[in-house]
Amino acid sequence: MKPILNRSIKLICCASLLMLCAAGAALGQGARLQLASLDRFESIADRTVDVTVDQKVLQLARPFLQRSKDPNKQKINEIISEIEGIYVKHFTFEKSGQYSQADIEPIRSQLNNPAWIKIANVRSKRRGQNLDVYTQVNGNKIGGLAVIAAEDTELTVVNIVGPIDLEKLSELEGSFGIPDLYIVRDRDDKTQKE
Amino acid sequence: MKDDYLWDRSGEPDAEVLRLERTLGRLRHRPRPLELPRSRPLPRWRLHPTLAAAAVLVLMLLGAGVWLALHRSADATTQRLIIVGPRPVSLVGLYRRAESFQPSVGDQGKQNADVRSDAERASRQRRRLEAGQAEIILARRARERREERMMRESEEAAEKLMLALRYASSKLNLVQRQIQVNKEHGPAS
Repeated sequence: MKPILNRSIKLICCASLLMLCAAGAALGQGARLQLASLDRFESIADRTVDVTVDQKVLQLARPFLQRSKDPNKQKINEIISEIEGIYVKHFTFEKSGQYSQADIEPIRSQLNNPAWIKIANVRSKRRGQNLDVYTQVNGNKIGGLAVIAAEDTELTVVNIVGPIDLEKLSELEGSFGIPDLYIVRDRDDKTQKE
Repeated sequence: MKDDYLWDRSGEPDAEVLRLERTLGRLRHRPRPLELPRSRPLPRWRLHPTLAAAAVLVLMLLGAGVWLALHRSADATTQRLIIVGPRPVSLVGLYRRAESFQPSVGDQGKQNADVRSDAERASRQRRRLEAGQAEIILARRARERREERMMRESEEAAEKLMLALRYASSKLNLVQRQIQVNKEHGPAS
């Protein structure tokens, strides 16, 4: 009886330790997603955009935005005031079917976590769209954002770490000094007209 | 003959001895009290007001002279610095004079040597000044380059950030539009 009791206590201790480690790792990770599994698309994709905006880049960008008198840049400066990082991976494929939903599963599995809440999900077989928006809520604030936009010939994953105002972020589209990609909007407009 | 007289003045003296006695007797010792020379009192310093005033005046003049000399030398240093700084043209002129200097014979020799030494000094100062100015210019250019590089990096970082935000905003809006379409037209799929 005694050896069984001892073994049970040991097992419980080991399980507790593992749970503590997992919790620690989850806390340390925060809202940052591991996007390295998407790197293999770089060789397949027709066009790849990989943007990593970490603390260092944010620190460098802030003085430029602060000096600027452009109201849009001032708005961006407000939006990024508490952000810790923005990570974007965008792939454009020549033809559809060059990637599957299973390829995005490593990203989705990270979001299948109580810390993340799926706030929007759009599935369209006709358009070949699978859009998901996740947020990580810390108290009353959004502590992180993840967007997975899987389309026929495009795959985009956006991960924002840190508090962000989604309304202000939505307002930014097309208001930058650099030209915007209207491909998606045009196609949507055409689809609506049809 | 007995010579007791010579010994203790007894007996009969010799005539020659008597003569010598008379001759030398004038020089014999005559006891008298010691007479010391009267000592003169030592002169005591007396404070003469006029002498003191003169001494004070001399000291004051000396002090003023020293102060003026020091002050003038300080002024001369400042003036030299002013000449070296904003007016290097005069130094260039002296330098040219040194280059075009031709030694001459006669009374002009010493004067020419002075001019030449002045000109050489000026040329040395000019070279030092030029070196200093070059260093300042180099430092300023390095600082400008550094600021320019930082500005460029900052601009690149801002562009990168804006690109990332554009993707985020674009995809969020796409989701919003699709939700709106689904609301208006029913499920799309």
